[in-house]
Amino acid sequence: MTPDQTSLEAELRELRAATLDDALLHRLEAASEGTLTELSRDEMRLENLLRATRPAAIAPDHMAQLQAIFSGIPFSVNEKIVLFPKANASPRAAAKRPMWAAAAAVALVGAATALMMPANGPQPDTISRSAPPAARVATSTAAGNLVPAGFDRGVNKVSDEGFVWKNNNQPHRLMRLEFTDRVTFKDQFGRTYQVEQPGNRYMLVPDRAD
Amino acid sequence: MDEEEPMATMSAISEQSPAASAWREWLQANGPKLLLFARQQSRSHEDAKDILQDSLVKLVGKLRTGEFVGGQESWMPYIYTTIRRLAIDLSRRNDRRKRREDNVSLDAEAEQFDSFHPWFESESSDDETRQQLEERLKELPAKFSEVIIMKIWGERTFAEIGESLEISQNTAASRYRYGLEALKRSLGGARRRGDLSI
Repeated sequence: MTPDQTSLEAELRELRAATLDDALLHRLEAASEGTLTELSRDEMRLENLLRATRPAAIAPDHMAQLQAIFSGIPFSVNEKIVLFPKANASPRAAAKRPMWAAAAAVALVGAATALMMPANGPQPDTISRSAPPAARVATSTAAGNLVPAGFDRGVNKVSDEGFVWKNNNQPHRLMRLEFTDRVTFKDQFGRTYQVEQPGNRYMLVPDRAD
Repeated sequence: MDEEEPMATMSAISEQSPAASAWREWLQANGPKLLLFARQQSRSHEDAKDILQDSLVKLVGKLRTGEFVGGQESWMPYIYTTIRRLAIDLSRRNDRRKRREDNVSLDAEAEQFDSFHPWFESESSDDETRQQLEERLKELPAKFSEVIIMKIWGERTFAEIGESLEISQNTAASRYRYGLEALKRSLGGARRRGDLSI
């Protein structure tokens, strides 16, 4: 280092870092104690005063644009309750599927059922019989060495069946849920077979009366 | 005539699906808070509207594809974070555009336009208070005003604010305190001058 730099360095060394002001010390103490996020009474009072001024409402045209974004999107109230969009959206989507696809699906289910039937001997309980799924699975397993490999429930259609008032004067919407259960089986060679069974359920969803 | 009224009510109700009604209510409750935050984060009312809309589209995209993690309670934190990111992106694009165009009058035009779109409702307090509050908030450094807006009108906790702004909750709390103190001093000055009634 040059003599100039050395003297500058000495001068700089003479300087002392400024001490922390009370406010910063207080803040650091509060942070270390975990109380920094707690507000004082004065701060809460000012907060309440400011809260009395509400944010401006959204203009109707802008609100309509924003609402359109959510069209067709189910509203999840919580883990168990989901409000579905209006039913008329579903049939339109379903109508786009060609009829041959539905026919092919029926044929596939028929073929899978036929494969699971033993060639000789007495006929077991058939899968097409309307029995609880567990009973059907047990029968099929015994008959053709098939092992259940998967279960899936697909919702085909949700329709709004109208308004229902319950005893407590709470309005409810009656929603009809049409679904198809698909059970997949595997045989000893690893081949998979799928059986489908349609079904429907009714659900009451709380609604507003206004 | 009397008999037709209940039918009319029923048909009006059935026009809205439960989901659509729920979304509308949710938007009416939360939209103004989100727009206020978007407004604080952006340069103009029009930008804020675009940003809010885009952030909702992003939420819907995630809900539609099942990518969104969490329930309804996670929507607001997600939207706050998205608004902030979109505002930063837009600001960068605007800066580049402004450098290209070298047109300072754009901001002046935006300011003039914004005077017709106040941040707060005039009915909730007297107009003078609203104006003063809005002006003082705009004067605050953005890092303070964004925390104040999220905490007071967004009703977010310091932890949630910290997550959205990518800072610790202690930093969020400190910025809030500094901001609140600065706002108090500023509003106090206005009150002493007789510009403010609170």
